[in-house]
Amino acid sequence: MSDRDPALIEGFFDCSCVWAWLAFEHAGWFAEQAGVAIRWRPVLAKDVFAQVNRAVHWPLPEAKQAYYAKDLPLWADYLGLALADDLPEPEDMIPCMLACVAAGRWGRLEAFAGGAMAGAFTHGRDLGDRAVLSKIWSEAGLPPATFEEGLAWPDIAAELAANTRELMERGGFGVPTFFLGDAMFFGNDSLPLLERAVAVREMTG
Amino acid sequence: MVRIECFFDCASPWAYLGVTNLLGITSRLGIAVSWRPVVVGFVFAQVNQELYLDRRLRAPPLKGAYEGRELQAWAEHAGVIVNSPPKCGHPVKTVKCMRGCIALEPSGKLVPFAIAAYEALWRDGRNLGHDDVLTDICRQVGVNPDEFFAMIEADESKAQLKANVDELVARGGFGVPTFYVDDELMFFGNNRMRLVEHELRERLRLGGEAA
Repeated sequence: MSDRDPALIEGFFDCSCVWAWLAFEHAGWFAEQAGVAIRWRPVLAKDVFAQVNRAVHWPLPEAKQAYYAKDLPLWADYLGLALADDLPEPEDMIPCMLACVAAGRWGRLEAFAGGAMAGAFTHGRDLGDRAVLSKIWSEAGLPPATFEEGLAWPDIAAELAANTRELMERGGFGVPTFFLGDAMFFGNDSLPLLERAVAVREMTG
Repeated sequence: MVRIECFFDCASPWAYLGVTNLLGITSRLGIAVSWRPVVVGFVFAQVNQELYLDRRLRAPPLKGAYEGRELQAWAEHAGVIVNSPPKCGHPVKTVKCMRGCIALEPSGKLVPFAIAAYEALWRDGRNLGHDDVLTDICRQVGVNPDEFFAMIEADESKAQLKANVDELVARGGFGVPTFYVDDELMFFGNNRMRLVEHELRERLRLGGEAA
């Protein structure tokens, strides 16, 4: 039996993934409408892939690759999000994900993470660049001076590592991954299932 | 009017859900579906099956278990029963079944037959490759079994099945269910039904004046 709160939605994400951004926005709107909270859990997707899902790096059949290239803009269009022509692929996501955790300490995680991902996927900003991150940090309403300070707190790094480990312990293998209690929902595509699970829970009390 | 095509195979539980959901959407919107039966194994054979197998073999076991749970959640969402893997074993040879769908289309029996076939396999665990199972399904939907078995041996049914498979691959398809809206937008998978519905509604709304 689990002692997890069955009413709590948790969202594990990494700002390097465009699908995580779509899910971030998609889930955010749903949660707002449904009057439920999401506890966002920043992780390092690179570590998750390296440990439990190396196949993610392997090439898909060409036909599938071609399809997903068209699928992405259809989803973005459906969600009303604009995609940059060239999606950035930053090398080092550690500072960005540390900043997400740190922003959470000031209660601005969503503002920072949302700003970072919109910056990357709509405007092509480089989330591997600390100067860019610092700018997004202040745009999120956080005091500029606290950016470097926040990133340096040792428990920030510990929290990021703990989130990443926890995702894998709970059966996760990528991002975005949502949990409602113990039930896991992987991918932007499975958000209708999360929505249904929340509705069922509300109805059955 | 907007055009919607659905490539499907009764061997696939995901296609079962896609077909079920599409029927719900199109009946609400009052539009007809162009049904394109295929055998997904023939599609895989053309679209590099090795890569599929390779990836599947090396995917984390966790992902497989997760996908099984997700299938159940989607089945509940669609309001149908899916018992996977089916009692009769998996995969099932659906060549006769899909030729049957093709042959029954002119008489308007394609949908009842396909749904009954899906239920036979995915709810009841019966092997759609077996003649007695196909006979039972025929009887269930008011099709003469002798005529059915004659129709599926006809050259037209065989040729049309092959043509459907070839066309799906030529249009960039690689599995089922696959939907095409107005010949130009492709959607793969039951978990894209929201996008399909959204697109259909948009196009109906915009083309509304002309309809």
